[in-house]
Amino acid sequence: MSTARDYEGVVLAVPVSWGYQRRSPKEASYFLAGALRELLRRSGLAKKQVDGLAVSSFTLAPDTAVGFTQYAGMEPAWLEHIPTGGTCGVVALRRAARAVQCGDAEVVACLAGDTANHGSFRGLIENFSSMSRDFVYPYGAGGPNASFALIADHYMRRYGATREDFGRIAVAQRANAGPVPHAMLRKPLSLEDYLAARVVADPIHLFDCVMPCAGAEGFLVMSESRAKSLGLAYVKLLGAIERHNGFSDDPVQERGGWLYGRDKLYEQASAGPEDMDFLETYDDYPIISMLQFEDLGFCAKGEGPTFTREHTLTTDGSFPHNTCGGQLSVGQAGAAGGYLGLVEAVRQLTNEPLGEAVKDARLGLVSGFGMINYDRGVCTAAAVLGRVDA
Amino acid sequence: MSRPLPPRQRGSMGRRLTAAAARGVLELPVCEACGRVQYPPREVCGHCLADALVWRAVTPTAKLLAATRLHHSNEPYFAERLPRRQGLVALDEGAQAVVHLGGNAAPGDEISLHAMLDRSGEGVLVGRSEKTDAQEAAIMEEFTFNPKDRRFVVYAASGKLADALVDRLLDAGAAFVYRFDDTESSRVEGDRVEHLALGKHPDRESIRAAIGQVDGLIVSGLGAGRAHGLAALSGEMGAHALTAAVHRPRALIEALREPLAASGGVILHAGSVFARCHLPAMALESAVQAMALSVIEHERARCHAQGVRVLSLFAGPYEGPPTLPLPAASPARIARSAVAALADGLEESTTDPVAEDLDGRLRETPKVVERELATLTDN
Repeated sequence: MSTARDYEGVVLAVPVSWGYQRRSPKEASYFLAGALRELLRRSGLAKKQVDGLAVSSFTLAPDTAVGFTQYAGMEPAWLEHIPTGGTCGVVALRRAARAVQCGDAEVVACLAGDTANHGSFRGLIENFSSMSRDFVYPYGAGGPNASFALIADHYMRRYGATREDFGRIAVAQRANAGPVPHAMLRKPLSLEDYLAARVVADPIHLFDCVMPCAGAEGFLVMSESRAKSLGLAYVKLLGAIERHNGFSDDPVQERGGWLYGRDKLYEQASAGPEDMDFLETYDDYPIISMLQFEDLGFCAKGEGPTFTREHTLTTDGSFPHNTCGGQLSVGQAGAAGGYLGLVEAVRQLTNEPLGEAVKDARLGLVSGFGMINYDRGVCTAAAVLGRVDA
Repeated sequence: MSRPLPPRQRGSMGRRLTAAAARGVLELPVCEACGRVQYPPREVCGHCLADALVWRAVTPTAKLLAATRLHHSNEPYFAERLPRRQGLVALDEGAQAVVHLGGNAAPGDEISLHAMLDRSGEGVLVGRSEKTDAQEAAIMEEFTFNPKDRRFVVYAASGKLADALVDRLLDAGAAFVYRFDDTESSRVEGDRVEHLALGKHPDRESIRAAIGQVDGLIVSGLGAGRAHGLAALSGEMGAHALTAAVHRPRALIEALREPLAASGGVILHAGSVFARCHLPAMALESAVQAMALSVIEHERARCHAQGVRVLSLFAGPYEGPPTLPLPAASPARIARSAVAALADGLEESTTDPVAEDLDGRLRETPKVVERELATLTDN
């Protein structure tokens, strides 16, 4: 098996979160353009100096990244539309990093964003994929809650996880979100509150679910020398993997494709899970964060519940996790949810977190999970980011 | 404002599942190259990529892998029917399927799978176990139609068939039956049956005025045309047959679609299998029934949009020439099949061995059937 080339010389800069609101009558392009405007303003770059563009959005349909170039008056020499949901941030980063390394683009703006209105969420899940339209949605139209309920039900019985174990993840994230100005949910959440919440799709209860919202996230990918010349704070990309439809023979999803590539990831980053100062998982439900603890090597399969009992998961805790509150507290602005952890990791490693700073953070791991095409999340990805001197 | 219905959007794979579910059969694509059952259905084998998938009946048994009870739904139809269970099952022949789950089955339990049509007329899988409960009964009511305590309208061109249908519905516990027929005036027969004069060309208002709430409509033009040849089509006999088999059923469906939609009702059309394959020995009936079938398909599309299911029951020779070398379909048998089709929610079913045989072969080799029927004469 060939060894992937490293990402030497590629950096991320200008972490942007823009336009978060519960609902909006605006179009998706409005939010993507808002994040782009922030990227330009804060980097001092002119439009024409951004020659690469990666876009992810659900509610942009029927448009894609192509339509957005005209909407925003961009003339990129390199364009990607990345439909991988909760992995779109890491996947965009991987694509952009190679483009920069190979000289296909000098500066890539990576953007993800969506709008949210009364009909948009139902419309999205009704037509999420051909398989789900025909073979999931007509069975109660429970949306992702129902799909993750089946995955959680299986995991709880197989590995003895309890609601308290999932609750600890949600409660810690809420604490992390407290100082984050644009977080949808900042009111402290106790484990009792979590347990007492109404049931949505047993065993999924209210605080296991993200709040859909509008908003956008973005960052720039460029060479280290370019970032230096622009005077931008930046972080290094030390390793990245992705895998789609991994372990497709498992009858019920209980592990994700991270497992295939994690050794390679840590080798590429010259670090192990024990070296990570914080972890940003894709947390559309706490059960999925727990799978990431396991599959990324922080504990063994089935030990996720014990792991949450043995650690404090707050930003100042023994295992800082989803340090801005994650989607469970910030909200899920559609595809921007797939950028949230990555943008937060860049902030932590450039000393500009919106909430608490992880003390002495040098290395961070970001992972993504996405797209319940039928009965499970298909896309998985992860990246290790490092402080400039890492 | 019409009642909310289950999601109707489907692609070609969903429609193919529906086609088999219309007959109450669980059919899935199976790869002829590697033998794997595909679910969700697709057009190329997800394992070996062979372009060799054949839809066939698969063993309708499975094991429950995981389950949830939904307390929230994004669709008004389901929101009115919460909580409800959804399961993930492993088919004994392979592949996993998301299903409606009836009863109290727990993960690990054996499940029987049923391909059924929902209130939108679209095919879905329903998993049932031996652990039944009230919620299972509620779920099954979405896919079936129990005549008990329901109010029906019955129209049959044949008086004997009308008698049999009324008797059978009453046996099944129907609350009341309006029987439309050719008699001049209305009369009440017992306390659960009322004969209503239909007149030659009944209009919507007079039909609606004559009846109150209705849950089920059964129409049949069987026997209209009888043993006449095609020459009769342009004459008085042809006009009479068209009135009985086409115009009156259509008028009743048109008039009653809305009250049926309001009650979540069902329409059953008992027609002839020779609507789908011309029998020269019953030429007028075959031709008239072919038109009736076309009209029923037209009405089905309109009714489905309002949540009214339209079931087609196909009978073999009804009151054909006595010398026809095919066993006749009796009124009692047709009536029994009609009530069974309602109870099982079958959109397509047959009454007797002749219809069953032809129904199956028409799917495979319609030209062979055509040639074969051409040789069947009544002398």
